[in-house]
Amino acid sequence: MELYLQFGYGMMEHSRHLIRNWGTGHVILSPRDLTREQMQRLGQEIIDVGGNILVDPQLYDPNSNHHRLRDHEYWPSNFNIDMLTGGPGLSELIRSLENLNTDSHATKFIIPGIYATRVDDDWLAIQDSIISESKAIVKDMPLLATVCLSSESIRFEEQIETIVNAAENWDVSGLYIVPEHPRTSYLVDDPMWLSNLMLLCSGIKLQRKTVIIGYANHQMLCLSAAKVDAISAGTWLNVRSFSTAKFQETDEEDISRRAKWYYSPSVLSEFKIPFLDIANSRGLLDSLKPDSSMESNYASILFSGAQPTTTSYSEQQSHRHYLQCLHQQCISSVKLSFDETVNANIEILNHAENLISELHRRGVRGQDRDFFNIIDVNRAALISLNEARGFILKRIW
Amino acid sequence: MKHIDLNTIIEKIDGFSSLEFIEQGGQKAVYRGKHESFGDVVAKFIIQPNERIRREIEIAVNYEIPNTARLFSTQDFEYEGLNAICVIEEYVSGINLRKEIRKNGPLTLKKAICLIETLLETAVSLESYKLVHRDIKPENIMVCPDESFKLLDFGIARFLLKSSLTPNDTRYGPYSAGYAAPEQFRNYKKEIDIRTDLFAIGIVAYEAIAGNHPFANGASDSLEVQRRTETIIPVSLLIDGDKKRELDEFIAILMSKFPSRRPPTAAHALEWFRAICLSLDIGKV
Repeated sequence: MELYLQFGYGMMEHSRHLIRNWGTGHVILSPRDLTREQMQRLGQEIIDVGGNILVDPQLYDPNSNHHRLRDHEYWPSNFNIDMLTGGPGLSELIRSLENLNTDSHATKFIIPGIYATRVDDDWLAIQDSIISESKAIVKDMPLLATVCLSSESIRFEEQIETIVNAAENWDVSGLYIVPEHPRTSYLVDDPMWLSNLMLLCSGIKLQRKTVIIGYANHQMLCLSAAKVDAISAGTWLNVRSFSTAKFQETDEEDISRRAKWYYSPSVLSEFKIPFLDIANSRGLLDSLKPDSSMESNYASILFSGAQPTTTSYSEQQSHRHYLQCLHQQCISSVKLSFDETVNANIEILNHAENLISELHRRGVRGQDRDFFNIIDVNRAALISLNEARGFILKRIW
Repeated sequence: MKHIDLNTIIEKIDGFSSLEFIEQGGQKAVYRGKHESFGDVVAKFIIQPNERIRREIEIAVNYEIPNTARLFSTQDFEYEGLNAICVIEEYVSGINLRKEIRKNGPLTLKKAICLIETLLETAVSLESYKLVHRDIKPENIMVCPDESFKLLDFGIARFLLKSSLTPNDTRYGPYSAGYAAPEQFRNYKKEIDIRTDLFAIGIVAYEAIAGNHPFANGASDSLEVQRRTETIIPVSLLIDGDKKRELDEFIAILMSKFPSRRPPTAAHALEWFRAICLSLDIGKV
């Protein structure tokens, strides 16, 4: 599994830096955050350092009032839902997006898809229509169909299976799945939500299609058990979990209120720096240090011996450290067989649980980014996957 | 349909030395008989055959499907001014699986393996022709004296490459309750493929091994069976000789209510089943 960089606020320099270091990788550009000219320029720069580009059309709500989205040429000016069921308006949209993709040096074409409040015949008809039109127009790039789902629709197994069945007839090379997190939460505490997302991904993977998860975070490392090809994450929480609010005018970043966090890959938790001071004073700081396999020196300063809050650990280092560790964790998450992959996931969860228990006992907490209460959610999802598709995944991996 | 006059048949269709009435239903009358060229046969006489019957005949004529009754010949004739057709098939001796289970109880593991392999082999062949039988159930499976099995009755078989004969707005497609997969009785045409038959094979396998149906036991009517088919996960099978529980798991996967959770193709199912058989201890049971 690969980590794709999901473009959001502050990602321009991070993308160039990380892709240059990795020598390869994918960046998903965001029209909400970039003008056409910026996309063209950044696209070229990413290609120059060995990366690949995708463009997320972000047409989740075509009625969005977000001025930067509406400023893009492809964005429909007088949107009517009939437009997505065929006709010249749809052709124009896809052609315009194809131009934007070409100019941005994209290597795969993400077909636009609207947010599904529920998966029903109407939504499926629109999917069919947009996919067919894209297939007819875009000839030079592999196609990825966007499947953007409400948190409520993900909770229903039948709706998930409806998508899996429908996708068998979608003539695309893969799906770009954008799952809305329940109650705009960052880490999801609903086992049904995660379990169904995993079943959706594995169902699509069994069709030999690529699966890329948009707006994800480290909780989605467990999707390696569904053999997902990539999860995408970025700097701030609004690109590590999906909410439609991000695509409305009123949702603008408030950078001043944002605290610096440190991600500890071994406990799948993030900590505000003052809690690292507590860990330091209890002699636990080293247990939170990334091991050498993470190849991250971005947070080294926190482990230099000084009290963490007194160091110059920056927001930039915080984001790069998170993305670097997640990149490494993604790479090592898929094993040679389904059983091995599930076992490796369980082992990571067990290890995190033991360590977090000790940290809690000694007063070190990740607050709302603490993974302790999420561990059972991920375990439950892995068990569900094993029960529903384990037999097949053990034989087709 | 009124009874077909035997004298008319003998007069119009050559080769029968004897004919014995078996049953009649709808447009079809079925006889068992002796034929000069083919020996023991089943003769079906159908007056004004509809498209579904034409397709059933087409399957038998054009496709070589293993473990099914051989078709010897077909002959169109006129009966009281109406179009009619005579279909002469191999007579399959033995009793159907329903009667076998009622009479002798569940199959031994060895026989059950033979049954499942037979049905999967047939499904592989159907899959290669883009056909779905859609009516695999104990009544349509013959247990032959040599302990082999044969699948009969392609009356509601579906050609996936041809237009469906069931109207789109029909709430329920043609089906046998308890054996049809949810996508079949719900008439979700786009979801019907060979995995629909794999579901029925799973139910038949379960019933043959357990001696009881996973959904029908104690159900008041076919609607309840249908409801259970969509909601109940059958109780696990405890099969002597299946120490690793792989056969149990395999049958459970076949019976998954969602097609995507069944083996993706009949060929996969057969390959996996054969691999599982290697780990079964058949000698002791």
